[in-house]
Amino acid sequence: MLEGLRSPNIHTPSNLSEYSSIIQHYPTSSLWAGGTYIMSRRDFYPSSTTNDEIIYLGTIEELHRFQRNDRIAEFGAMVNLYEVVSTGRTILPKILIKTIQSFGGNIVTGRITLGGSLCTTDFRSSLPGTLSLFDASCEVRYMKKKRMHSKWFPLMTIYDKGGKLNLPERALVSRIRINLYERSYQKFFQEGSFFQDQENSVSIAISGNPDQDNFNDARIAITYPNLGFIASHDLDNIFSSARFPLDQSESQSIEDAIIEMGMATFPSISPLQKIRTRGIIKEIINDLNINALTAASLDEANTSL
Amino acid sequence: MKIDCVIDGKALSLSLNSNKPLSLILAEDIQNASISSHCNGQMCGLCVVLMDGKAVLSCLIPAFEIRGKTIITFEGYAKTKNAKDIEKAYDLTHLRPCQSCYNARTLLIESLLSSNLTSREDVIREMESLKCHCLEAGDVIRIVQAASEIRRKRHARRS
Amino acid sequence: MADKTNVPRLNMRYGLIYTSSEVGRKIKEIKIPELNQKYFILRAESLQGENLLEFAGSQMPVMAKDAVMYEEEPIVAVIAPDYESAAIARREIAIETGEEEISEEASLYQEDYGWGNIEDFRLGWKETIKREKPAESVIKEEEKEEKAAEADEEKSGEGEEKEDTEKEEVAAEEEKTEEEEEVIIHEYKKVSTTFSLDPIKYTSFTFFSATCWSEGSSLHVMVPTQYPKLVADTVARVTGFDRRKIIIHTSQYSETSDEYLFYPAIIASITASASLSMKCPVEIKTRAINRRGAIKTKRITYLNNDLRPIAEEVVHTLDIGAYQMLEREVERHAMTGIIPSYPLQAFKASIKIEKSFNFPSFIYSSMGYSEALAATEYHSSVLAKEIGMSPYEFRLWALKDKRKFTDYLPATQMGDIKRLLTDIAMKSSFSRKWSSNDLGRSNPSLLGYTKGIGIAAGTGIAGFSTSFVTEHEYQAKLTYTQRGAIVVDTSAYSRGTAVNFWKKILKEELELPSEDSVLFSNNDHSTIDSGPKILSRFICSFSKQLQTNARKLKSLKETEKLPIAITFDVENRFFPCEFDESAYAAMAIEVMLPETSFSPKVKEVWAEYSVGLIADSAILTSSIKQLILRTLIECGMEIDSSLRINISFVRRDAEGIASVVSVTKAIVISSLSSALEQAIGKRVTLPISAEDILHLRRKGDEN
Repeated sequence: MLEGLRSPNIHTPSNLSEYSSIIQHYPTSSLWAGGTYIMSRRDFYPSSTTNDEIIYLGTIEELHRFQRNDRIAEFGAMVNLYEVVSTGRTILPKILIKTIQSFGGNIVTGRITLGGSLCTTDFRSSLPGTLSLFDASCEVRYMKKKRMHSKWFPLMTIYDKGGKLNLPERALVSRIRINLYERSYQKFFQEGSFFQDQENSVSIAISGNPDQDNFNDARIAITYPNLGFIASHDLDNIFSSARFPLDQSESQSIEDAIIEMGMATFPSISPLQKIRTRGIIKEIINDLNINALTAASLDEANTSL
Repeated sequence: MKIDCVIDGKALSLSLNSNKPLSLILAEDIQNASISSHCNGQMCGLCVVLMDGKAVLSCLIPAFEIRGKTIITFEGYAKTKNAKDIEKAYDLTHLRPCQSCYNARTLLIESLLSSNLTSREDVIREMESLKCHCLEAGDVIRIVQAASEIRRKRHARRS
Repeated sequence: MADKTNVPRLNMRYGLIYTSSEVGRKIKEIKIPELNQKYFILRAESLQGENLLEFAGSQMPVMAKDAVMYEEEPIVAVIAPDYESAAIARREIAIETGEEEISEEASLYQEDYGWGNIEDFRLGWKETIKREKPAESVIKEEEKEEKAAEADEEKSGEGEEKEDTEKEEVAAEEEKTEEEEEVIIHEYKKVSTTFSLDPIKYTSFTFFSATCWSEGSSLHVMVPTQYPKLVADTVARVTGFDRRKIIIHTSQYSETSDEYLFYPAIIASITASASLSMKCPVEIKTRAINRRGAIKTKRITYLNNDLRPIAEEVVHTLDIGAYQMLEREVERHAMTGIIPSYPLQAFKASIKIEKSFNFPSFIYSSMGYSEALAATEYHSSVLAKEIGMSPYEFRLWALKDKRKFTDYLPATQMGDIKRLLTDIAMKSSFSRKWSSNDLGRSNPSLLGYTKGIGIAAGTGIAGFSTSFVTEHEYQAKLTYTQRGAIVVDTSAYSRGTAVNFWKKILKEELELPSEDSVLFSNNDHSTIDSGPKILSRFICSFSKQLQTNARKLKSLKETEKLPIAITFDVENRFFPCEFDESAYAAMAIEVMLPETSFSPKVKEVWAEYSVGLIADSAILTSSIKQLILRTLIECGMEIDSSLRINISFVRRDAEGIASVVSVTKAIVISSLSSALEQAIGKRVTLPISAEDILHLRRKGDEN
């Protein structure tokens, strides 16, 4: 005999200590941040398998804080992306603003929380990739011997090599810290829709300091929403070691190397993701070539003067 | 779960499943005819309502979040003076959204006007949340700017 | 606006429909979970009356009984105290089907039409040469025919754009006389194309609900519908309830592709049946769906020495889904679109209607005319390319001033279409772009994108064919009351823009003091059946009939005492052709294909219409824009903020009321196909995705 649906119990802790006592009492409860990811899952509602206990993080005051100084900006995990943009528009790297704007209008970004966008299990937004360019780190709170502990981790370490979330059970990302590096070249590219066509979309975030024929301090992250993201020193070195402008064969070999690296991490990249990655890399190289040539011609002009 | 909220000016006390999406609450429990789409969070953008004055996608709002909130759906909004401003802008520009997205687009325009976001970029970015392409981007900008002007004049007359 | 009816919610039960993707298979068993008395399960067997929907003589079952014929076919309705319980119970339902697919009858319905003898052109033209000596090598007549047939097969088998065959000369000895005559048969140059449209399977997130309740001896049904009478008839048939006691309330809807035509009637009758069985109000909620089936057009054009088209043969195949509904009418619409506008000595067209295990899809904003016209226009563009002209130049060169009168369309003035084409070509710089895009395609990596531009033009039609309306009477009644008011009695959806237009017509024709003197009476849908709200019938055909009959009423008023009433047909039953032309239009579309994303983007659209009466050009422009954008999205295009749509009108010297829907859809599909083909360099099938383009490109690289 079918039974009626049970309405989940919603716990609304007002601070982190309340949260820790609730999580101890209901260790299997689900954490609810903005809800955009949970609510967009197929058959989310009605479902007889929904967790009976839900902890809503929106009421925890500490998770809404924002602070900054000259070198870093620190956001609570429940600060939504709209707030990140509106409060940090003047200080945050442009590429981070662009990445957030790629999520959609205020109606969407107003619902997605910073912590939530990092902690989804089978969907990777373009945000972790972009944050990794700025050596972002996050504070993780976790239960150990019935006590709440907290520790700062580099953002990259909360994901495994395959891009899956690698947090301990009952752990909570409470704060995210971003280094405010100044880099003159910052670009964000996205092809395809991350929400509607995950299998064919890709985004690339790149930053660095072009200096004549060099691209110093290059950092690059490639995100495939259905798989994960790639950001590594090997990947950065491909750009750091190149001398611009690149000719067609050099450009081709960089594209090949990046695709090969992508395939090694995620063998199931779709053909369209591959071609789109290649297309974006081509566009970046073209951009950096123009940069290098303009710088060279400016130098020449200065010399002749 | 007992949930108290105000929907279209009516104070309601609803007995609901705590995680039921607002779009389904409006369609099934309140029989609100202005919501006729439920995309399960696929961002179709057709289920826009105003929650405490801000536009939200009602399919992404769980029941427990509407406790103590004021919800305005298109049904309630259509009767307001603000709605008339946008209606006038449609008439003035001879541009009108299609029937499918009329309600959602009007509420989105309202949220832009109320937060004073009428620049080209803001309008384009916000309208991208709506997956109905019955109007060109340029046309929507014209509507928003006309509505903004109508509202400004109305406020000036009132003051 | 919807009927303001208070639906009794007390004791209301809520239901959902169970469907299966195991299509084309016999149902062996339906496993229903154990449910308590609060639930109710409805299957085809439990319907009180006939399990049948009938629409203009065509029939299909309301619920699947023995086999699942299409994916969205209702198999079981689960009624529960609330939607949540119904959804969970529905998830527990399982269906066991036979392993083997039901063998469908191969066909189908086929209709041929044409003029001249196409055989003469298939064989080629004969040239007789007189020679003094008899030819030594003699090829027998049979061999000659075999060769010709082989050559034919080879060419049509390829079915691609180009079949630039060399003239094969087949010599035959005709007679042996003293002065030998040798007959040389020259094959005509042939150009063949295959134009394909894949099925549209997109489902919107829009849902609708049907609500039924009993009040006294009446059964109330509330549902969004484009044809209330169909709902009433189907509910009566399925439930066995007295037809006269069924009251239909139309709830609000917005149809984009006629999704509220027959599916609501199916859902409403299931709801009514459940409501009567459970003796309580029932509401069933479901998604609004409609589909278009696959369409394929194979066409061969024979050209003379001047490269002018002289004969043409076409096979146009339409898949209209699991049940053949209105196949004759679909054939007439498709045939009207498939006949080209340029003059031909011989023409032969075959329309084949096919069945499949897909959603019955006979009306998708069109009954096949738009898609057929798109295929015809697309072929013109390919023809142009083959003979070394731009599609614009070709049309000006090939079209005569008047189109041939056929059973399907009258002798349309082609001069208007030529003028529209010239305007559009000027505005869009068509010729320049056409040439430069071809050059750009040779090196896409240099620019980072390729571009394409396409042009198309055509005539619009609206409503049903003359043959159809002589078989099915759809009427309305016009009464001039003693108080000087005009009452229009119709079951048509009498709200919205069409009604304002009708009021305007009546006010002008009957010289009424104001539009308020016109009243619409549609309280009892059973009184007069004006047919479904589809194919722009009410805006075009009905308006024309209203105009004609208002004039009749005016002359009657001078001779007879008021009140006077006349009943008239919603469409013209006495027109000499199947359809009347309703508007002319030309369009150019420019697309860009970035090499980084492979997502085709429409850059700009130029459209010009030649219409008679324009009630409000701003509203018309806005609705055309919506139609263009919707059709582009249906074709898989990405729309971004840079898109520009330019629409202009030319007033025609006629007072006809135009509908631009059918022609707009057609020319969007056609010009987009041509533009994409130019950008990609390959034949495309719409709707197209980035993945399809990648596949096409890869195929090209391998070749």
